[in-house]
Amino acid sequence: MKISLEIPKPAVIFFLIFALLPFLFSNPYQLRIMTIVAIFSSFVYAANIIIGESRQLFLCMSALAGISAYTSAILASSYHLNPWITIPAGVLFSVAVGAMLSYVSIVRGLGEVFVAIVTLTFTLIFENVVLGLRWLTMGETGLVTPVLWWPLQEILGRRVASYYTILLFAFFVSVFYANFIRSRLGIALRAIRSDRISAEVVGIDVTRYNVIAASIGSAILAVTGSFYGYFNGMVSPGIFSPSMDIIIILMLLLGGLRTLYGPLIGATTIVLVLESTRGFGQLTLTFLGIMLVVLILTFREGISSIAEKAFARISGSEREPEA
Amino acid sequence: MNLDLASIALSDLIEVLIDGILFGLQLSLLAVGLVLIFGLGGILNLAHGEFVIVTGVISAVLISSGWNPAVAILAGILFSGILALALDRSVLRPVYRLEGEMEVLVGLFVTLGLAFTLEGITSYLFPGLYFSVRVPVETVSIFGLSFRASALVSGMISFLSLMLLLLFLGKTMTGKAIRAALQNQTGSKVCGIDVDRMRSLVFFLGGLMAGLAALAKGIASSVEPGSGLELTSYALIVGVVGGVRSVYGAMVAGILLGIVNALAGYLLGTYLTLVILLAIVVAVILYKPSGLFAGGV
Repeated sequence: MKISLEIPKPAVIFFLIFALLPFLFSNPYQLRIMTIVAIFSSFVYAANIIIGESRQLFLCMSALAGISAYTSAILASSYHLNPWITIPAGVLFSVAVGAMLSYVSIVRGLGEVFVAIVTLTFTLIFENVVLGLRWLTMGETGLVTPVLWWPLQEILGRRVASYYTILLFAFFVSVFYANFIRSRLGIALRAIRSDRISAEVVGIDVTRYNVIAASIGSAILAVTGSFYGYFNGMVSPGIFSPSMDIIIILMLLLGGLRTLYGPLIGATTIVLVLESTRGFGQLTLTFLGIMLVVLILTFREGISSIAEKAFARISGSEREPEA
Repeated sequence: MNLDLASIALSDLIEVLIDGILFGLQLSLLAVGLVLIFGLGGILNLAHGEFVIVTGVISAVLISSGWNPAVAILAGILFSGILALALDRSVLRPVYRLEGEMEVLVGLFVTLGLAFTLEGITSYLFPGLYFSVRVPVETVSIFGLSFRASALVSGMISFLSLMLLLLFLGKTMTGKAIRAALQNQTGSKVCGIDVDRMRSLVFFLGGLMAGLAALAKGIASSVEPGSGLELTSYALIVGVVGGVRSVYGAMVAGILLGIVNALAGYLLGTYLTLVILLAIVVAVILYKPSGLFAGGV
């Protein structure tokens, strides 16, 4: 197999801009928002792989991120381990759960809607288990996470160091996604999307590829979820709640399903919208709801693909259509 | 001495069972609306719980502004029906133009968006408001067993509402047309049934059922803004176990899950109970995705 790593230039530029932002906006609040944008763009890339590429409607992304965050935090604090050692354990746990959910729903032949219901139910189970195992998870109040050492924190300070680590991971994820869609796996998933039966006939193992896609997505969710927990200083059911899934899907739809830059655009836009409507309290939910309805009814392609089409029209090159 | 213990446990068990059935009737009432709308509208209405909240909010506001409680509650129930009808006639129109899996998926997201919209509005405008109807008597004892009067009344109202729905679907011409359309849309179109109108009617009915569920819940406990998604998930649980298209299935599943809920709550405590209910759903979907009691309408 020929290995050629593609590093998309716009992604490099985008992340360079993000890397320079702390020099302009350095107060803790601004840094926090920027870090959250980076966290959510990784989440949305994961959603793009699971929901977009392999068409498995996982409504348990918050739970997959949360499982890893809780596992890592609990292991680190109860056995006094370095969190960098416990993060892989949490990730492994989440990947196992994600792969199992995917495998079981494919083998049982569940349609997308039933996958959505099963995974949503799983999210509710996760939430209730966390609330119930009070002695382990501190229930609703949340668990204070041990202190994670962020690379270069002695020089940059904890806030900036955590921002750069998380941003670097998001950059890695976006480069990964760019190569993923060109890889054997990405092409196989594309074949399955356009015609599942034909794909099976030519010998594509549908179950295997879908489970792999779900596992990769779960791994990204899990790493990001753990970072989120340590960055936040606390993991609680309020952070990894079902509404997180909705926010991720909203970002994905707004940016554009199955696009390379959609997750970055979607995450940035929605985080800024959420922050600027914070003063309206519960009405924020209403904004999110109305956005979801409008997006899904009028604009299923997303900003990114519309921009791409406009660009293609200007430059005269046509992008091949996708089913 | 031993015999005494046994008899106490038995009477406890019967009380728990009947409690479970009464709660189960509430669950059934909550789920039938969802099932009706999914059966004909093809839309898994994730805003269903919000219809319950809307009835509660409207009734509570009207009562506190001096209306006769009965009239206020009736107005609240009607409002939910009209709201459901309005949604069917407006935002959901474009969804029906899609086909198959796509229709269901887009419908899922649109109603989820609506649920968030309604939840945000109701909890922003009426924070701390709650709707609850007091029953003058505290407990009722029958054959030496004692029950909470509110649970009994609430169960009775649920039962009557369900019976009325069954009568409507079984005996009237319109009800039969709805059942026909539920079974086979194309076939009923050929027979001259206006499926679009039936769908609107079903939405109205679903809204009314949610409203009645609000009344039943308001009597047994209370309805407050912010709990809509929780109610929706209960309705989903019952609907999925019963078979998402079957009205009878939803009724049976509701009662069954009510009993499981009460027994598990009695034996294991509240939080594990919900986990058990959710695990049942996953098991049913994996074992028999069409639901345990699918088949009939």
